[in-house]
Amino acid sequence: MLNRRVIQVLSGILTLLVILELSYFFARFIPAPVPLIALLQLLVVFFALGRIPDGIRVLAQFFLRHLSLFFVPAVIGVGLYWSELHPFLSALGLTLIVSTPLSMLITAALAERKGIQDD
Amino acid sequence: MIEQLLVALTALFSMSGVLWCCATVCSYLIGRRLQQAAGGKVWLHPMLTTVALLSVILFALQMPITDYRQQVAIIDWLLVMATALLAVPMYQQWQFIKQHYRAIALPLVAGSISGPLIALGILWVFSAPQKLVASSAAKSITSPLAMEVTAMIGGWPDVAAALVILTGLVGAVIGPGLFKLFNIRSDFAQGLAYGTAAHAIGTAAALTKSPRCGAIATVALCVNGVLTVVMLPIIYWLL
Repeated sequence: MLNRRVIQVLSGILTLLVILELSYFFARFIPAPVPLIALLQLLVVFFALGRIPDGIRVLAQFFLRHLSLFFVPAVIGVGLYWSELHPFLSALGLTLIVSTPLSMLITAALAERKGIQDD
Repeated sequence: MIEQLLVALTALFSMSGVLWCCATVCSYLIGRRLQQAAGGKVWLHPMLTTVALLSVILFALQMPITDYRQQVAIIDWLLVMATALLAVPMYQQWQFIKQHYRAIALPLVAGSISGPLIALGILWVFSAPQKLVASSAAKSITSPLAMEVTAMIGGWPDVAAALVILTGLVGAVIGPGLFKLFNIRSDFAQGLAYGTAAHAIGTAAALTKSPRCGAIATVALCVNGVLTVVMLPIIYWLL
């Protein structure tokens, strides 16, 4: 059983690598981000198969549960721009505190009117 | 892509590369534990604790940020993979999207456009520099996609990543009170709002309300991510 799982995951990784390589290739011709091209390709694969291959599903569970971990280095990188950000911290804070609830409210109010009932 | 992976792996297999990756992962695990121990408080998001802990370590060891980022390049590389894997929840929710696409479309597009526009408006009033404005436009979508689209419109991807996380935290913390105040009760409306405005962190908050609310938030998170990546460069050029 353990072996089966390992093979599934390895084939999942291999599929992902092939798709990513293809995405980098396509990205030369399409002005879209590589991860987005890869995402769309994966969707095409799922629809073609009519299901999600087990290996990829297992990988997705792991990666999406720990998604925060993968952008830690990026957030640390903010330190590089600190001197430029510093004068605008209050403006940024206001932006976050005003725009987030406002856009949430717009979405929720419109959706509530559509009235899809919970079942 | 393979070359980038090889470069990242070379960095990883140098001694300090392994150590810095370990430090990052350990900080993250500690951050997670801390949140669990505190009963899952949203504002104790592992992201915040991890970054705080790592900053202290980097500062104590006088490690330059650019060097650190180079050492842990493999994590950036894995982020690309993780983003592509958002296709999985999207496919899993496909039936729901197909059934309700009419009800989903309007609120989602409205939230998707209003978020960046309000943010851009406020920053414009404060006459923030162009680069900073470009870095805040994508703050409502999931970090990896936001970083990509920010690079496309000429902002700082790293700053975008930080703003995305803060936006998620604000959304998740404010959400319950906001919905109560405006009497918005349905899983559908709340889930859509959490996923559209507050991406994965909002989705986690939606999941605590009900699994259905979480599933709808996942749909909104994926669709808004893709939508923003396509629309933002267009909106940005129009302005």
